[in-house]
Amino acid sequence: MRDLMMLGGMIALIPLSLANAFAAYLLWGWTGVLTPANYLYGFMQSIRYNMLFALITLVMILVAGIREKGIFKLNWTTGLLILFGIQAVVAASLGYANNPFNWEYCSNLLKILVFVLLMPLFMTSRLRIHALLIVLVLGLGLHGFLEGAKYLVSGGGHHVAGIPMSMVGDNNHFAVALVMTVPITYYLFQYSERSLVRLGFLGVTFFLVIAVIGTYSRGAFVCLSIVGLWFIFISKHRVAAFICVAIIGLLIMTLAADTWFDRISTIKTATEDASFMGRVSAWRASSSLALQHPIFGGGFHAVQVQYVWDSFKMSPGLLTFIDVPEEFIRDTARAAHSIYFEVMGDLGFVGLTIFLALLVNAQITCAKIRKLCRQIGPSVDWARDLANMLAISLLAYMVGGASVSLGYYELVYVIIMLIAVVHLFLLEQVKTSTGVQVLR
Amino acid sequence: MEAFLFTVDVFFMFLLVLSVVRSDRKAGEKRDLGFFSYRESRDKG
Repeated sequence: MRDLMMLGGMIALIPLSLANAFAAYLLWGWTGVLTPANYLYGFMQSIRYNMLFALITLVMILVAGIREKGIFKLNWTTGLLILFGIQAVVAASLGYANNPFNWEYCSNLLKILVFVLLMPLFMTSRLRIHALLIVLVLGLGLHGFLEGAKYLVSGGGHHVAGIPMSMVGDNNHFAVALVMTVPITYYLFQYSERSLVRLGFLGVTFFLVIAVIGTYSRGAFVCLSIVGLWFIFISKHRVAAFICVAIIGLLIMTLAADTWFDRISTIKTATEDASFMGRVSAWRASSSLALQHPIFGGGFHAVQVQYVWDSFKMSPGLLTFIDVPEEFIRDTARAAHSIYFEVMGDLGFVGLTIFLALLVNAQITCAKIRKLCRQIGPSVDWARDLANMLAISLLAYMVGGASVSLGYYELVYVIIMLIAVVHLFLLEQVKTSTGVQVLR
Repeated sequence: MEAFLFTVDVFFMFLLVLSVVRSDRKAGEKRDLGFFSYRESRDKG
């Protein structure tokens, strides 16, 4: 039945995407974060929806020559993204042999980079930025809403797992992705006109938080707490924000199962915990690999290849100050379990520098947006609030990502580019309204 | 519930895309040509 519905949906959506390149671009983004194949079990499951809409968009832009309103400009964000892509290709080319993850991850990253680098062509108005945010929530929010609802209905019995066949297949990965989506749904709640739509986004925000609890992820809990505190700190109405966060905290205390509290309390005894110490051993192996290949690293997820893991698992790498007892060092290869160590091991210190520069530059751009908004006035309050929410989302990634291998997750690059796009939009507005050249 | 919410999600996406296509559509050109336009144009000289 779902397959028939999807067939009907595609019969309607494909012609619409062929009629409008921006519509095709939105569908490309939606299928990227939704992974529709997860919800289908029949003949529509094998279709590669993401590739289909990516091809339609690219053909319309590059071959059919359909002109969009925006233009591509080289700036810090686009420059760093291009550099990151080049570094990725070189690292994958020079990486360890017999690595089944290498080109798979590299091509995924390149597809993501193509998607985000095309964004300035399409995102030329507030309306279009708003549409893309809705698409992100329709994609990722659906997973979170469903899982949150299952957790709530089962009275805390449902254990939220990740989304199979996607980058957030692991519960910890999924939890970080959900925490990153919360500020976006909150922004949509703030700026939607109709009260029913506002209520809908508020409901999605609530279920996303519940889904995060349902993952039993300790990292995501820390991440969620930091997001809550940061939310209070940057809010215009701090008392209201504090009350809002306190209510969510109380709800968590009420709704979470006892097993959840047992799990979270193990944060205090992390150094005795096999899961945590296993992560430290993975970080040691990844940093050892990076020290061996400082410029280009070992290629994508090289540390997950058994013979590479065997060569580095006993080396302390950069973490000489942490002793990992031998019983915690696994014989089987394992993932880097940290965005920073993942990129360091995969793309070397050069790759890590570009990656960190991307994250820091995005936060600096958010500060520039706030400054520009003060300059322009209340007409662009939405841009300031959006920049604040995207900055929180990125902060959630930077904190939560410290313990998960999500270095090449689509949403991060979309957020980084969205921040750059909002900044460009404001600069254009200042230029056209005052005729004054603003320093970038 | 999953099937229902997935269907709703696809429907919302369809509505969003439809509204994007409709709002971006250029105003239609003047419809003044018919099947016999060529013949009529010769008659008019």
